[in-house]
Amino acid sequence: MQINHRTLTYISVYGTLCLGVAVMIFPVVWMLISSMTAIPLWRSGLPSTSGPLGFLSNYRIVWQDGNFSRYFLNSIIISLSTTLLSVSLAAPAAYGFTRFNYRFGHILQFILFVPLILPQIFFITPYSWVIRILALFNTYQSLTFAYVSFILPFCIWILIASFYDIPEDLDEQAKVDGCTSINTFRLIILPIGFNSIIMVSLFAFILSWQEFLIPICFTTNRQLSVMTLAIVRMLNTSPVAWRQIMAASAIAAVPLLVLSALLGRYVTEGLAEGAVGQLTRVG
Amino acid sequence: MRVGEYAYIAPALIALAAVVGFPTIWSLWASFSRVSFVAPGTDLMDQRMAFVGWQNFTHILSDPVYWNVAANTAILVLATVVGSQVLGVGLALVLSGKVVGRRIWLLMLLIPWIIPPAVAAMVWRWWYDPVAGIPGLMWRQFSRTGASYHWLAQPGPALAAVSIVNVWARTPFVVVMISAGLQSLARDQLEAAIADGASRLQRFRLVIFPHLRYAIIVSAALTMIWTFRSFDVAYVLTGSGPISSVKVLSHYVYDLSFVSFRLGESSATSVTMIAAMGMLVLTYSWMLKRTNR
Repeated sequence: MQINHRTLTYISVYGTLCLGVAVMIFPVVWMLISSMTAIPLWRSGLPSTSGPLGFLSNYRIVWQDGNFSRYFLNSIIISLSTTLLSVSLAAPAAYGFTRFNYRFGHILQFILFVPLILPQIFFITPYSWVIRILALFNTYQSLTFAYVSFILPFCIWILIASFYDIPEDLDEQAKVDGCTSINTFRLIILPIGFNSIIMVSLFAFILSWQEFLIPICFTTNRQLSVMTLAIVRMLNTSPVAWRQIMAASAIAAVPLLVLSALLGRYVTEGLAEGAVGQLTRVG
Repeated sequence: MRVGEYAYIAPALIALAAVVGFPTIWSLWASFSRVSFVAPGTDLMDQRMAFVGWQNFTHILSDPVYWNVAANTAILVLATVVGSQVLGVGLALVLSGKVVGRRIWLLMLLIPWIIPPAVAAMVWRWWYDPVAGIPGLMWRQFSRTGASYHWLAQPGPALAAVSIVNVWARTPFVVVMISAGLQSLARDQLEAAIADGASRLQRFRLVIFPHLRYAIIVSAALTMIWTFRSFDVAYVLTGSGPISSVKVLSHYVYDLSFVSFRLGESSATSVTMIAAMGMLVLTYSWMLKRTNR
């Protein structure tokens, strides 16, 4: 059999990709397999019980007895409200930054970077102090506010990059046609920038869902836990119920994966444009 | 219409003032004070921030635990940046060729980015577990004494273990950044090099790599920033028990704030973190400026 140069390239390229993808997706695959089957085969948590839909027994245990139905709901509530709030504040702000010349515009845009670069804990300590004083400890509002404070700058940043690419001639034409700035925003920018807005909403939702440090600092009430916090808390049992943890992890991970798969094109296209584009302009 | 124009950014600015302005001022003030938390039911008037000068800083910087934690963080950052850059550039290069189903490969490679880091760390935590994890099981099978080896409890192996997870988590980001950089590489430059008879290695060294320098520096800087401020992975892997073998600075500050309630010292530690990060960011900007872009 002749192995020519082309076959070798073919094998090395797709082989590397397979290896890379295998490593990247292995945790998800592991979550699904170990929560639904008896693999791994030795004693490492409750085995799946048999019976109709027995392979989902870990999920049933976690959802009902483990109260994860509540935690899932908490995650959804907080992530949705954070996303809505962040995007609705970020879109006008990005429109403003790209269309108007504010006096301290550049400084303000630089300040946008700060919550993204500095350690979160730097901001969270003062927040907790204030929240306890205002008796907002263990509330949805305090969580949402803290989430928004980190996610909003990120959204503005990405949307600035996207709106920047929308040519200003369209604005001029709209003005000639008699549009005020708010109408320009509503009727020109939003429809054209719609892709970016979807992309940013997806990011905001994913980032909120992933958040762990804020809930751990802001809530001690179990009923208010979000998924990430609840899952990590499962480490405290003895013996650790690994399969149930995997089931809960799958419940936490799969919605994000599904969302990303559905809105995937916004992610790969918009991200390269937004992040690299903005950085190219800054640098 | 000046007022009207400001109306667009006003809500966001107010939020930012609350986010950036207030905590910064508070933390700076707190790092020079002795602060206590409000305990439920405490009279608010008891809350005092007593100015103590540099005491917090001297206390922190003379504590060997701080330097241990700082060293851990530095090693972790270095390993994560190097590892993710190597893997990321490699995968991006592979993807840049003629690949069938490129978008699907890319989306699958992005999975570590989409999953909550704390949740992904739980899978790794199981794998690293000396009793319940597969490597632990194999170790017990093949070791003479049959005793288990607790990776996550020894500082050395624990650092490696956390680094691996961090590299896993950050490589997709680097792949995206480098892919974007590669897309802007003009085909004609590469074709000219091929026409001149350059080998694959020469093409990489002389055409591709210089073009990528910018993307590499930027993605390395962002990875460094992310790892430096990261809390989830290290906490889940090593910290949630009573003993934590590898503390990173974020975890240390969290302990000071929410476990020991020494807010003044936690703020001081945060300030030192920011100072360190500031120096690193300046280094990266300097490197960027040198790239003639």
